[in-house]
Amino acid sequence: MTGHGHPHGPVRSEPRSPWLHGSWLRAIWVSFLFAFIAIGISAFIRYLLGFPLHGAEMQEVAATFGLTFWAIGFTVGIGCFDYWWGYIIGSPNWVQEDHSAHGAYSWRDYFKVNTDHKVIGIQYLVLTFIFFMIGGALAEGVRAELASPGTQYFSPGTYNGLFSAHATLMIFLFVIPSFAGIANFVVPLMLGAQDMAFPRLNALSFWLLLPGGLIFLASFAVGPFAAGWTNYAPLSVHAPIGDTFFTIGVQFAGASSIATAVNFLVTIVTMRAPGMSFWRMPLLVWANLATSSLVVLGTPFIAGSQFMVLYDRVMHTHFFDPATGGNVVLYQHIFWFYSHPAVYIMMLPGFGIISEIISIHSRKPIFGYRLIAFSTVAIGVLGFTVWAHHMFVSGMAPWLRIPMMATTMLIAVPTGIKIFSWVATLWDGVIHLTTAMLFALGFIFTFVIGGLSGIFLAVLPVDINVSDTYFVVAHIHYVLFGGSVFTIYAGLYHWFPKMTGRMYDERLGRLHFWLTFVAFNATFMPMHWLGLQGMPRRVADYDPRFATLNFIISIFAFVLGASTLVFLYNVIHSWARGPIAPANPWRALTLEWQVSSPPPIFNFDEPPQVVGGPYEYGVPGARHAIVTVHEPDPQFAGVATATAVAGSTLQREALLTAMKHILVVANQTVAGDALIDAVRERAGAEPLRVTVICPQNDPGGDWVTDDRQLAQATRERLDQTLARLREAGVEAAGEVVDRDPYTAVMDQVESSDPPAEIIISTLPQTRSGWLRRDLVERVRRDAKIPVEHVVVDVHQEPAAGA
Amino acid sequence: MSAIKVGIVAIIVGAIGTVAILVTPSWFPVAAAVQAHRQDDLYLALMIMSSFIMAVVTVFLVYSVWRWRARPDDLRDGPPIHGNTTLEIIWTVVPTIIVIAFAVAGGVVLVKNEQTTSQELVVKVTGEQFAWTFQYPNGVVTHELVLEKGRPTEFAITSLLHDVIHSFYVPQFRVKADAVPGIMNYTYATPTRVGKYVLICTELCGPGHSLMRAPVQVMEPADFTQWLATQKSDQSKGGA
Amino acid sequence: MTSIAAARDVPAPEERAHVSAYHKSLLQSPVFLGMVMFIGSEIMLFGSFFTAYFYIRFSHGEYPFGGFEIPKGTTGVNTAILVASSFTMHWALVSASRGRRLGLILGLGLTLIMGLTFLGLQMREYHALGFVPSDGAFPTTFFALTGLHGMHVFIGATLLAIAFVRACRGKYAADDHLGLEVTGLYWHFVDVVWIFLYTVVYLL
Repeated sequence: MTGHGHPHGPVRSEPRSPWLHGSWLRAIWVSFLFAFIAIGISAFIRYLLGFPLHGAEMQEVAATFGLTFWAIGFTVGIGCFDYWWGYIIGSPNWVQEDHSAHGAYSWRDYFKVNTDHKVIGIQYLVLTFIFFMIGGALAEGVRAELASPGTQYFSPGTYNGLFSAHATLMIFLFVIPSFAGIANFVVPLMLGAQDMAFPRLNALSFWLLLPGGLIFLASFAVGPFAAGWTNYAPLSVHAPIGDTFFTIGVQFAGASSIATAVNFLVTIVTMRAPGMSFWRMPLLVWANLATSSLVVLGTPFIAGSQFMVLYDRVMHTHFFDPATGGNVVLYQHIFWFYSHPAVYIMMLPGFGIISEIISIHSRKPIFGYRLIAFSTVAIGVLGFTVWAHHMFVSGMAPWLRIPMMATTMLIAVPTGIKIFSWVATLWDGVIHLTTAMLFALGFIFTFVIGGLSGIFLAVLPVDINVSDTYFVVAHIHYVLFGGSVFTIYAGLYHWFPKMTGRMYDERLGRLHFWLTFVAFNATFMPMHWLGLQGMPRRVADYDPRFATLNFIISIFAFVLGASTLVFLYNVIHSWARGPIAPANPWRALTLEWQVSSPPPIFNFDEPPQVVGGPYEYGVPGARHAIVTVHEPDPQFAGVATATAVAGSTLQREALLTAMKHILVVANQTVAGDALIDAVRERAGAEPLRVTVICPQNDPGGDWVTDDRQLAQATRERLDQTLARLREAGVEAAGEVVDRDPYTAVMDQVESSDPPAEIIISTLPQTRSGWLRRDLVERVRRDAKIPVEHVVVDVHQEPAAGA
Repeated sequence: MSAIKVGIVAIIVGAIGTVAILVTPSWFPVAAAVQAHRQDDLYLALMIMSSFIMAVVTVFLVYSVWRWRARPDDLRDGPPIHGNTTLEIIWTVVPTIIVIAFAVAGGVVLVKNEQTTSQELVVKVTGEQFAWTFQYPNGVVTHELVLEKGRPTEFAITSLLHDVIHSFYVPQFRVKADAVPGIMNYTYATPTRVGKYVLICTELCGPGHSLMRAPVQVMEPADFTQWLATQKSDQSKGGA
Repeated sequence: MTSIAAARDVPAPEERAHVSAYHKSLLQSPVFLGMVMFIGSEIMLFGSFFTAYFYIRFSHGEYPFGGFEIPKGTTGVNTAILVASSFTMHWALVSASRGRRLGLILGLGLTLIMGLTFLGLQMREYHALGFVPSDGAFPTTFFALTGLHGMHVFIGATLLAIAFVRACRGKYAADDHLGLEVTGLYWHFVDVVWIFLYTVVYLL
């Protein structure tokens, strides 16, 4: 996260109390208030109509309205709608270009409504990873039960809930939104845009996801939904109340997904940098274009199917009731019309990620760029024509089966094209086995297996045999874990430096890969055989002759779970303490790598000019785009400019490092005269650029404390300082940082752009917390560059702002 | 090594894989119906195709990584190859032919498997939470599925009207069809082997899904006729 | 977990303007495009309910099946009202782009009134039908489709009300009334869906 030291745009005047402005506190009480009001109104209407206010039906009504309005209330309370509300009511405080909620200036911004696509991307990735762990824990519960025949730990209803929630969380709360998170961070940068087309809608998309996930989890309190993530009628219609939680949770996850997709489509179509034709877009962008189209067109069908189940449950309608003219198979048609494209929604972004990684880490243009782009779109279109291959044994119209087999078979062709193209990209490359590349290679191996088992499943007689057995479980995990999850890991490793500004530990990454790869194959390969032998899926008990194999599978499943912890440790440790990452560690050509790591808050100072394709490796001097960094105001004479119009980061950095770089560290004393004099003195001698950091320790550490005033005051003082420095002809930048001063200084010293000299400004000895902690001595000892200590007595100087 | 040579190695690996597949004892439970034998042959063909595809992808992948792996300080780029039209045409057309071939084969097997004749035995199968019931043409009702070896059998499958979806699956026959409330679903099997098998429910139907099974037995024609007659007289006497 | 800005990120005073200029020029067509795509997803939502309707309808012989009847005539009047409201909406939009405030406000007001009339008449018809959704498969699909449409008319009416108030406050200019265009597009969508629905469910 970088900051310019002040938020852009005017700050809306907001209520001081955190209970009243957009915050977690307000989200909590508004959500429950909405829920209670909704339940109250529905109960009142039932009372007026003469229906009973107790019993199963009332419970269903209460759950339906309560959960729906609780989730809506949550998004209102956290602040997603404040801007639009101001617009609607014509609030005098409303400002059209309001960037007060934009950008990460401290870690707290990640827990609030923020409109910066980079912040939202990271919010998505962290939240979805948490749901990945929860979904994984549920799977370990399933595998614990399956380790031996017979039932050991869970009642049948709970066990059915375990695998139902496992799949639901993994699909709706992990794979789909995780790709949205990666794309959120990367795609606007790749396009040369400053953000997405609709940043506020983007924030709402994220905040819709959390209540949706919580609704799924809350079902465990009333008896988890237990009809599978597929929720087939009539089982779902007659199931206990947990099923209602599922139908409503899906709506919020779906709404989140659709809103994100609309955002991506509009962004990709309208916000590409000048010169970026469709044929100069990176393949990740193509992938997101196709995926978003699928989401917009397909997701409403699962919404519709779950509405219908909900209506059958709560209003006793007869969509799926054969006794009164409804149709059971109808549910499956509507459900799978989305859920088949859903699997491409869960795979196409991964394909895009792999295209980027294989090309960059083997230093070669992607082989067959246009055909890969075409095949991506083809998979998207064909994906809508194959849904009934999930219904071959369902009793649907028999004539539909063979055409569906044909279309399903054909989808293998564009998929195969991609695999062959990726292998051809590797051929004769310069291959760097980074962790991202390892996962990409592992992905190719496991995805080919999953794709082949898919071809088996397309062949009708084979499908009739293995449908609903462990063969299908093997297939789906090969394409969803060996496929999607491997690509998510690959993407996270590849873009980790860009997102966090740190490098991850490569050895731990390698360990993570091998553990995952071995444990994954050992867990899921034997399942093919189990399915062929006739072990059905979604069972807690099985034929005792499968006992040994199930036991071995369970052991490896736990190893697979443990491998996630290696990843978690690597991410957390590297994010906090990893080596500072350069702007372009992979020497890549796409636009996201042409800005700093992490990128500036508004990404680019002006739209980059795209002059070539994104994969022009191997051609000396070839460029994808020209990125311009703005020079400071030319009225400040005597200062070497930082303008660099260059195709390479190296040129820009060379220009900047020609000037002497001084680090100024001050908090309350910033803007003090003595400090500014000290800096001016040095500036008189030579061209100077100054970085000012204001380490601000939060006094209470309590996340509900409103320290906005405090940060605001510090920022204003900092702005004053920067202004005065610039008046003196010094190029100055700075920010308020939220950590202890020693670490803040050492971060600068150890960064890729270290200062030549440090000035630390403190209060007098008797009043300085920093001096009590020997800050200056420790820095002098460890930084090994000259450190000057300036004492500023703020009580003797005229009021320095605030 | 040139790409052609690597390709030859890949084909050899695929052939070795094929041999391994052919010598492996069957992946499946015993085949006890005509439909089972057909499905097993189709499956074998798919396995052999997969062996070659897997070999091609893996050999080229592993070879590339082994041959062109670079040290971290190697800052060169690879050659600027963007594609090869001939190759791209080949790997579009050949897979298309392969998948169409298997689709046709699958269609042919399906039609053969579901062909009906006049001397068919029709057994009505009803699923409910959590048991199976079978009804024979002469009115006999049992909870055990008994069939006649060599006799084409049609299963008319449904679920009770207010029940949920179940699925009729006999692994040894390789046939399956969902039991759906409100409609009649059909599948076909001609048993070829005397023995005891199992019918497993393969559609999540509630807490009892894991345990919803029924025994299946295939008898010689004479034994079957006798069994059916005995059942009939037992039931009309008001017995079992 | 913060890192320090490199000195190349100089916060120049004009930067605020840079952000706005870059951002704003792209804002005109994207909002409209976004509404088009959102309407695409809404069409698919109606699609899922129409799928249910057609599937159930064509698995029965006569129509309406189950002995239920629906009022083509009175609903036909309602259809005419909704179609007319699209014309007044169009009038409002044309007035806006010509800077004619009176036409804009009258057009919006009439559209809103007609939309609310449609809703009111539909609710009366629901009452007079004599059957409820739980009575059978035909009532289920009938209420599901018309109810889904009714909800969308309600959303459209809300957007119209917001636009109406803003128009009265003079917030729309001849060259800057994107919110109005987007509202108009949504209202036309609601109307088109109704025409299709009425034709298929009532007439055919």
